[in-house]
Amino acid sequence: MQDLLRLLWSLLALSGFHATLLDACEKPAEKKVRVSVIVILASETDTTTDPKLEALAAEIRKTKSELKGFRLLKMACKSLPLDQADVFELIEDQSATIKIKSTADKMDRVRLEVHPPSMGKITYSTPCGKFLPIITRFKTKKGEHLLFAIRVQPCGEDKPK
Amino acid sequence: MNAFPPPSDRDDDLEQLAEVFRRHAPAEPSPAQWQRVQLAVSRALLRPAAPTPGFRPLLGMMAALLLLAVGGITWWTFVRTSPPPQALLPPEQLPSEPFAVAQAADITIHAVDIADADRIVLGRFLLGKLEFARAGEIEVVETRPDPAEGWTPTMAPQSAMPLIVASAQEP
Repeated sequence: MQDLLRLLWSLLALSGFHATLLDACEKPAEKKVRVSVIVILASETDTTTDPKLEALAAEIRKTKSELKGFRLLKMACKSLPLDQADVFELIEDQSATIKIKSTADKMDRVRLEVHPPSMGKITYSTPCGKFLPIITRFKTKKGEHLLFAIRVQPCGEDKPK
Repeated sequence: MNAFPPPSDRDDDLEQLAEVFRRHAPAEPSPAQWQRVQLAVSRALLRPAAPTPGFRPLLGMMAALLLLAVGGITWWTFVRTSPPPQALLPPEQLPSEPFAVAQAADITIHAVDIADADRIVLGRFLLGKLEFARAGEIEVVETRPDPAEGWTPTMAPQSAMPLIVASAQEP
C-alpha cells in the first residue's frame, strides 16, 4: 500500500513539474509596440527639401516661414513594452523619451507619452503606421532646427498572434 | 705544262724564300711567356664548360614539364580521389522543429542613416511610406510643462496637419 502511495505521489509531482515547464515555454509573448523615430533638420538658408517631406514642409512654412529646406537625417526603431520609457537619441546630445501607455486597441490606436527635448511631456493617442511631427526649440551648431516624428506599429495584419 | 718553270729553277726559288723566312723569323718566346701560356691553358681546362645558349630553352621546357607532372600527380592523389563533402549531420538526425529566428520585435535599430533605412526589412521595410497623421487622427490626452523652462508641448493651432510645437503658455 505504501509503495502504491509513493508511486502516486511521484506521478503527481512529475505532472506538476511538467505543467510548470509547459507554462514557462508557452507563456504568451509580451506585448510590444514598435516605435520608429525619424530625425528631420530644417534650414533657414538651404532651400532643398526632401520630396518625402514636401507636404510637411508646406504645412510648417505656413506658420514658420523662415524654415526653407527640410531634410531627413536618420531613423531609429525600437520595440517597447508597455509602461517602460526608452530614450531615443536625436542629435547633439538631444534625446526624446517615449513610453507606451497602452497598446493598440480595437481601433488600432496606441497611447503614448513623449518627452521631447526642452519641453514638458505630452500624452496622446495615435493611429498605427502614421508619423506625428514634433518641432523642437533646439537648433544645431550649424543653425538647423531640430524636428522629429514618431510612428507606432504593428497595426492590423502584422500584430503578434 | 709550259706555264710552269723547270724543276731546277723552282728549287732555287724555294730556297730563296726559306732564306727570307729564316732572316725575318720572330724571336723565340721566353720561358716565362711559355709558363704564362701553360697556366692559362690549365685554368681554361679546369673551368666547367658553360652550357650553350641553345640548351637553355630545353632546360626551361624540362622544368615546366616536371612541374606539370608533379601538379598532375598531386591533383590525382588528393583531389580526384578524395570523397565528396558530406553534411555534418545525416537528415534523420537534423532537428525536426524550425530553427529559432529573431522576430522583428527582438531587433532594435538605435540609429540608421535615412538613405539606408529601406535596405533593412523587419517584416516590412524599416521606413516604408512616409505617411503623416491627418487632422483629427491625433487625440491629445494630457500635456505637462517642462518644470525648468516652462515650455509645454501643444498641438499647433491653425494647422491642417497635426504638429506638436513648444508653447510658453499653460495648456
